[in-house]
Amino acid sequence: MNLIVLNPSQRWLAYGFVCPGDGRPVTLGKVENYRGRDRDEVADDWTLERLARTFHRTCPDARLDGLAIRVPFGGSEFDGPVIATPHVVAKLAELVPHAPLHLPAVLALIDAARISLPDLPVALVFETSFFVALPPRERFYAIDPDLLDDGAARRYGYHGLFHQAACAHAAAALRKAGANSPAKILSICLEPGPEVAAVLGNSPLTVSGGTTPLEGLPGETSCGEMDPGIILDLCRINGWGPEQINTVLTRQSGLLGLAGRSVTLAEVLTSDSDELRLARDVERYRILLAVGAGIGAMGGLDAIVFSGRYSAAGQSLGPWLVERISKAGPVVEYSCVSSSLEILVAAQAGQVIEPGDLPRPAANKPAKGLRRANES
Amino acid sequence: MNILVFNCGSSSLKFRLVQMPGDRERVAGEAQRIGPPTAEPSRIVYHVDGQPADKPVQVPMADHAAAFGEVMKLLAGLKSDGRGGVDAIGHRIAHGGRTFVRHAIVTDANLPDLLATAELAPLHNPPAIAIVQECRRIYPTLPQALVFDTVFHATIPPCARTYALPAALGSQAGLGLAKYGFHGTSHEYVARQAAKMLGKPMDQLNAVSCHLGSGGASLCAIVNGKSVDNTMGYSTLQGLVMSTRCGDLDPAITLGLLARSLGDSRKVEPLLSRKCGVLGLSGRSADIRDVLARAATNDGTDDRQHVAASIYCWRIRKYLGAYFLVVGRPDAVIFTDTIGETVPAVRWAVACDMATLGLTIDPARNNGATKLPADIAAEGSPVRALVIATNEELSIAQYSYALLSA
Repeated sequence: MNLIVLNPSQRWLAYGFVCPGDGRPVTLGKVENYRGRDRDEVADDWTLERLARTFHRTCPDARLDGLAIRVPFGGSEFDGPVIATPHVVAKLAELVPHAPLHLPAVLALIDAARISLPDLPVALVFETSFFVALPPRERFYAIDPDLLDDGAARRYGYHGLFHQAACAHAAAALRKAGANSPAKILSICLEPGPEVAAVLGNSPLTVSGGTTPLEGLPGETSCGEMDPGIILDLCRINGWGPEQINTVLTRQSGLLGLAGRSVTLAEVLTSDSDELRLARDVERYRILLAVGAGIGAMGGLDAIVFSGRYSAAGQSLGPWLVERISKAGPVVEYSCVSSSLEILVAAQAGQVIEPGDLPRPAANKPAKGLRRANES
Repeated sequence: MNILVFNCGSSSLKFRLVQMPGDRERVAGEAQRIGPPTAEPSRIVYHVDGQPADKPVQVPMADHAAAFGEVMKLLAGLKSDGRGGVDAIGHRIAHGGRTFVRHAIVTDANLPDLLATAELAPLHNPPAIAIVQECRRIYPTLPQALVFDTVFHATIPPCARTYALPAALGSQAGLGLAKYGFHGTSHEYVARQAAKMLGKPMDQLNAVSCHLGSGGASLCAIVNGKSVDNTMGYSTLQGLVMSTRCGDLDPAITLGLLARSLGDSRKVEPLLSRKCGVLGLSGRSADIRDVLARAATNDGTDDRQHVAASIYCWRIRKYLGAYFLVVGRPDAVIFTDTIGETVPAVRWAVACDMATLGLTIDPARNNGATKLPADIAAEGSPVRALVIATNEELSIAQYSYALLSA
């Protein structure tokens, strides 16, 4: 299975050539300014074709089997990877109001692929799929749905690919060590917007990310958990509107706000400098709370696993965390799983793309990975 | 010394006349259903020297000022019987802000600071402050003590107190954006009772206190007798699911409501304070006891009640697990206030299957805990589970007496 993995963001299109069969390392790169002027198209129809040519130069013996796009948000609709059929694209388009910064770029890429590389299947791999079936007690907020524009607000979770792979890794290690019952795993994803999930077997019971990535742990620039009263008082006392507050909470808060300068999560977790003490203490404390909540939810703990681009920072955080947990009872070990996001996306895409696959015809019935309307 | 205590709730006014020292309650009562007319009439229920009154005083009380007037009339009648003399007054003030890090005697000098706290807790502080001022007018010579819910939480360390906001916002005068914590008077009172039950000095007690009221609710992590975290935060909106308050929300939800109300926070605050929580989830009742009863008899036609009950309990359970790690190995988990004291199903849902953290609840003891205090943990459970009746008014009287005796 040889794939081009695409990870679109606001400013650039990150890509990877994944040819796991030939033992070649993943080739990574970025295309800057890939979006058109009106933001809902790829600037240049040739972008993907050029990427395909580069793929063939890089992997001359490999046949390209498809494109795999990482999709940050799939709502409650997509509980697994899907081929981007017209039906799927229509469903995805309906979700744009929920993720207006991310989904238009994905839709633009699908459209560009249809024009530039019409013979290649396009797989969509969602960060939210792992958490689609969160139990209602974790999924919902204590708010009357009638107060909300779209009638519901649910918790999604935003690093499902890392969590799912890390938990599978930890569960396999536990099985190898002789464990029989479903593993109780605390998965700590160390990304710029970190996230903690409690996973029983393969089923997440809690996740710190909320209806948006803003909730939960402080990120490199995002606030994390916030008293609603603070937001109301920023409006009432400072006279700020919701957009201004959103900008402060999203881009000027978190570790940036606490440290007073731009700083990565890894630096905060691994540094022992006084300058970063408050940021480090707050972040570690919030992680401790999320871990404790997960232990309470699962009624126990078998292992802790760190993942994400800063998974190595788990080597600094792990001993502190294990010691704090052991004071309350559970004695566990931690591991740091270093995974390439591109390989994780490719692995999931491989579930729906067959080697030599051709584009699927337009389907009227839901594709695999697309939840039926009556599923909740 | 007879100390008259007032404890202003959002729709109630509790009062006690306590003879100190000795903690003897001479008069104890509560003005209930203050506000707009409800299905049942406003009334004042009370005891005198431990004996319940023949019948409650039924009288319309449109607001706390009216309730205060009626309570004072009642006390005046008792005084004419020789039972109601007042030597000092103690007030519960929910929010002391940054200014009041200790309980205080109200003076001309600190009155402006007290008035400035009104907006910090719009449901609780304004009526309580109004009663302070009215008492100063009626009893200009009597000393009045201010006992703040937030004082017990002044020991919460920076890692738990600080929100991840730009530093300039955190230090902005007039905002005071930090975690204050609430229900401190209750948490501290039941912690002291727990220390006595366990035979430990208060300054060596480690505990998680669960104040589960019929209205507000919070958990408190206690290390060496001091508060180190509370689920409520800058305001009383954060944390657990409460009767009509939202508890934890994704900031984007609040921002969405704010945008929908065209940036008018005065329209959003009542939604989050009065239309959310158990009421918002169930769509029927703000009382978790009603929701649990309906969920238990659910014939499958109203799954919303079951979901509401499960979300309410799940949030408590998660925070309980979190605070176990904050405290280390607590000596006890304490359940108190209306729901914590009287609803075994909630205690079981939030604390069963916690053996890995050292806590095992005995189902029979849990269900049989009607005479309080009670220990509902199983034999051999390293962490005890104590059900203790809170008594904020007695605690306020004790603090007031200590201030006046200093």
